[in-house]
Amino acid sequence: MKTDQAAGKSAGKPLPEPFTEIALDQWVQTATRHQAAGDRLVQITGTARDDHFEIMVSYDRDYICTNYRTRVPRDTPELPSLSAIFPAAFTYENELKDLFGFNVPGLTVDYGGNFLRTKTKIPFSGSVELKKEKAAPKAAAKPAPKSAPQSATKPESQPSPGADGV
Amino acid sequence: MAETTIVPFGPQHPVLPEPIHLDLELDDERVVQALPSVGYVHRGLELLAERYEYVDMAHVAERICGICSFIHGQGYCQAVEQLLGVEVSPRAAYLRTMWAEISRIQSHLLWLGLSADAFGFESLFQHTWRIREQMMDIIEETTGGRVIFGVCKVGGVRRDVDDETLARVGRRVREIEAEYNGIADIFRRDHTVKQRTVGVGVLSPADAHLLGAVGPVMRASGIRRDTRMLGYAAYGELDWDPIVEESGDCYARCEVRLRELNQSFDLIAQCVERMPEGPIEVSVKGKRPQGELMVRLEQPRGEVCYCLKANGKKFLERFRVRTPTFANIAPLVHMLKGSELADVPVIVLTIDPCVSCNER
Repeated sequence: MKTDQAAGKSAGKPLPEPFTEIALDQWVQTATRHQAAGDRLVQITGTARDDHFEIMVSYDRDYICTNYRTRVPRDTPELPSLSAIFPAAFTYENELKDLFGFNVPGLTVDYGGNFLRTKTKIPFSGSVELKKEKAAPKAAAKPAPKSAPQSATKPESQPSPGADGV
Repeated sequence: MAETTIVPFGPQHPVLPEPIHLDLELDDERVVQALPSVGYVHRGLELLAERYEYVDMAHVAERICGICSFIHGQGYCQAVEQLLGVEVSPRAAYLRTMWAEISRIQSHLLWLGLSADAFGFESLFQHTWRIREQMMDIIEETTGGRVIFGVCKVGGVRRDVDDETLARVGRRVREIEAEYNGIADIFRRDHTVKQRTVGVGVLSPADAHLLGAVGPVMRASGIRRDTRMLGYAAYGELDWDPIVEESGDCYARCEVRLRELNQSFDLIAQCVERMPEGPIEVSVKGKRPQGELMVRLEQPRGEVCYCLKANGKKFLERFRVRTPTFANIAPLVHMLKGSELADVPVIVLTIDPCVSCNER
């Protein structure tokens, strides 16, 4: 196990809430242990990396949070569900499924990709194709008349709008 | 079993101030299950952390929501300060606490007004918002803003409040509280309010824990948990205790907010009395955040989490917000199951959904 000691202080109060890295096969086992200890599921979130997805989970007991991070490979994007252990997990897992395109075996309440209704389906899967709207045809620029004198700009004595502080 | 009907609830609905969507599966007038969906007005603010410098990002964080604006800014700044290893001055911590509680009062009063409107009690709605307007005036007097405070910055606060104004705020808060107590009595005793809320949308303590409820939703189910107990900002030095109710129904959730209003008035008065002297900010010039952490605060709607990851550059690598409304979706779906269709708006309202936060 590897731990990041990144947590600092909050107005003089230490808040030691580091992230601990765990293997994917420890994901369910760790949740079971925390559930048995009476912990509360605080959140599950994820981040897309070049070659994998990072998934973070936090459990709380007596105001102390324990945070874990695991890696889900891009070629087999499968995250075992925690919803049978922590019923609160189903919303987070539906969100992860809709954002990253994970397969979440064991998900107790599966909204079938209809929880996060985004225009681009599975936006963080790594193969996002952005549709570019057609640019509006440019209006033909009118060339300035050659005969126009250079001094035809605003006279210096006349203040520009807003220059008086209004 | 009879054939069920799907009735869409939202995104536009008369009782919803913001667009949340539920597909209600009904057996006659009874809800068999509720299918929520989010993303209707998603804005992608989290991604902006990779494009704005960490100091400027505080402005974006505060704009996540117009109701919880100050606490979003505070949470973001607090998280960045932890990554930088910076400790804010005691005066800045007290000012942040005072503004956070003012923010809680205006949010709870907004919710009470909307609830009265949903019950069909229009005059109560108008009186509640009249009182809220006086709190908005205090916000304007002390920060210069009304919706976006714009006073929280990485390293402290941007604006000080002089002693005369502080004393005036202390007096005004007590006057407003006296006026509010009259309104609170109506919410507590009125027959129509009770008829719509007592015994409706019950969430047991065990379900509240398992389904990850936060804030007043959780405390109304008898769980004594408030993230302010972590002691961030000045909360560790003030006298207060989490407000807890036992019955777990819509009335209990209303009662928790009613009592929290009195508590917030008191916390503001304590901040005014004990406001320490000293600077309001520390310089973070030239510093770059490094590391990864999660910071939690108590918003009016409950616990909010900020996950930040930084790699020593001026742009954050990742900024993620877990909002209280998202955490309360699972309890909401559970409460709606088996309820009457007519009770759905009241149940939805009592989790105080903030779609702006959710669709950050």
